[in-house]
Amino acid sequence: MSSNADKVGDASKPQEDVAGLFARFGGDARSYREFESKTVPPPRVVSPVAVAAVSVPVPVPVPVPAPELAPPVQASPTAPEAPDGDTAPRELDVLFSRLAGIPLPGADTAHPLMARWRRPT
Amino acid sequence: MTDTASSLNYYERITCSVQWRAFGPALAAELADGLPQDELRALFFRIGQRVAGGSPLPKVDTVVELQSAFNAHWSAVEWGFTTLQETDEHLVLTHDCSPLAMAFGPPALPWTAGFFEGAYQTWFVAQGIPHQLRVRADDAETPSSRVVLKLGRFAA
Repeated sequence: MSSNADKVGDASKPQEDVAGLFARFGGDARSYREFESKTVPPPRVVSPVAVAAVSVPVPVPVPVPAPELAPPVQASPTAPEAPDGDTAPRELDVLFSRLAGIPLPGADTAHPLMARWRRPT
Repeated sequence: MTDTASSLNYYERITCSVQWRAFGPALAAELADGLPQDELRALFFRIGQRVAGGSPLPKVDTVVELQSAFNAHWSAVEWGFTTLQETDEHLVLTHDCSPLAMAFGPPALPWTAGFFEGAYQTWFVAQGIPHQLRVRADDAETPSSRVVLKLGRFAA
């Protein structure tokens, strides 16, 4: 027996969804799924450009090690130093001095090689 | 015409933009009408100084490294290449595939070579040459796209 209160109560209940009603009246779940699939709203029409923009996975940048190339001929910024701390003249300095006809800059002309050698007394 | 000559001829034709092929020689002719050659050479020397000053080279140790540094610059601006050779009295610079002859015309070569004098002099000074050394273009006959220069002691 249904009463007005029941009717009011039914009206106040939240409306059951279609799936719930189907199950409540012994509906076949598989049929329900089929039914549900038909109620899915049609897909939105998106322009191919937009589809491509959306559906193409964004490539994740993967750090790639730089290829190892043969090192170019690189000029060293300074002349290499001799092991004893003296700065060895550059090959270019030797050449420039020879072309200019002057002693190599830094050459110890006042104390040539062996000048400090102790002489026998 | 030999293969080398035809290759050079082709290079000379493409080395200067067609936009400037009339302008450059006309400018050179006008300059030559107004100034003596030694002053034009000095003018181009100063232009060369400016260009080299705007493209400083790293300080290097050897002749081979210096040649590489020169050519890294010339290659970048498509101005040919240079070869360095030591002799008893000079360091000889043979600059090949220079675009100057095509840009200003062969008659201007004796003084447009001042450009290379100024550029190389500036770079050599930066490498620490003694003040006695100068770069001078050789006046010997060479192909128009070749400029031979020498670093050595020359009268000022």
